[in-house]
Amino acid sequence: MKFIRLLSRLAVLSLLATAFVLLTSLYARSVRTPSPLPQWKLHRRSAPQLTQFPEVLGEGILIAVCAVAGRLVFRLRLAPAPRTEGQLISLSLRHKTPDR
Amino acid sequence: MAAKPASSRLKIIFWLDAALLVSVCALQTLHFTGLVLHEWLGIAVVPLILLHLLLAWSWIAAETRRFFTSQSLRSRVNYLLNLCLFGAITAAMYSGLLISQMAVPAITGSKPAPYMDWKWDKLHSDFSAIAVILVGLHLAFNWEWILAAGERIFRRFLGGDR
Repeated sequence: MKFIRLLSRLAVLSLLATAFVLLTSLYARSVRTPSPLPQWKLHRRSAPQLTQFPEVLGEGILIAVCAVAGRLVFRLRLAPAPRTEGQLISLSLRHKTPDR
Repeated sequence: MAAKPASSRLKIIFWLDAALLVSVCALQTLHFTGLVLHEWLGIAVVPLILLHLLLAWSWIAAETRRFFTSQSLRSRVNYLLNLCLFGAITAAMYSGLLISQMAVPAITGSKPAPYMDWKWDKLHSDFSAIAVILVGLHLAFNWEWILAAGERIFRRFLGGDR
């Protein structure tokens, strides 16, 4: 039973992925083929270059910057919200009237 | 107050997410990995993403059901952001498979394309860049969970295990 459930979930994800692949293909048809830049070919070295490790850290920093920016944009807080937040504050602007 | 001990499920999810984050950083640096490792790592990430989604299935199912009914704006934005992230990663993977010079020919036994399809190469770069931004926003939305999980997993090192 668990296996069937797992398969059905994988099928749902595959269907969604297929839909996105179709959308990507449709989008690709509307895009013009760019002329290759010389530096693009230079990027395609087969062997890894360990001296380029700082680039990985740079990507990590970029993701961190996006995360912080996201928190600011979505008005999230870096610290947990105080418990008092969201409670109504009575300003006592209206005088109490006797109950009828 | 000391954090509760971390369950094995929490540890799996935390380290899986950490592995995915490191993989995304590595995949974005073709200079560092080289083309061979880049392509194989891109293929290896697919089962990790599927596992990440399957482990979060209860959230996905609940939020999908609630999307059109009673849901806060924050939850809706979070849901749409996750959907866009899935779409961007799928597009990056698909375009990556189409321009593969090493991994896909090795798996299928075919010869690599004699010329690079620059259109798909450009799309691959664009969708990857979008995916990186969305990963950052995904982290922003799940910041509290990451902090809480990290606190429970590293509590020994943080001095909470007394």
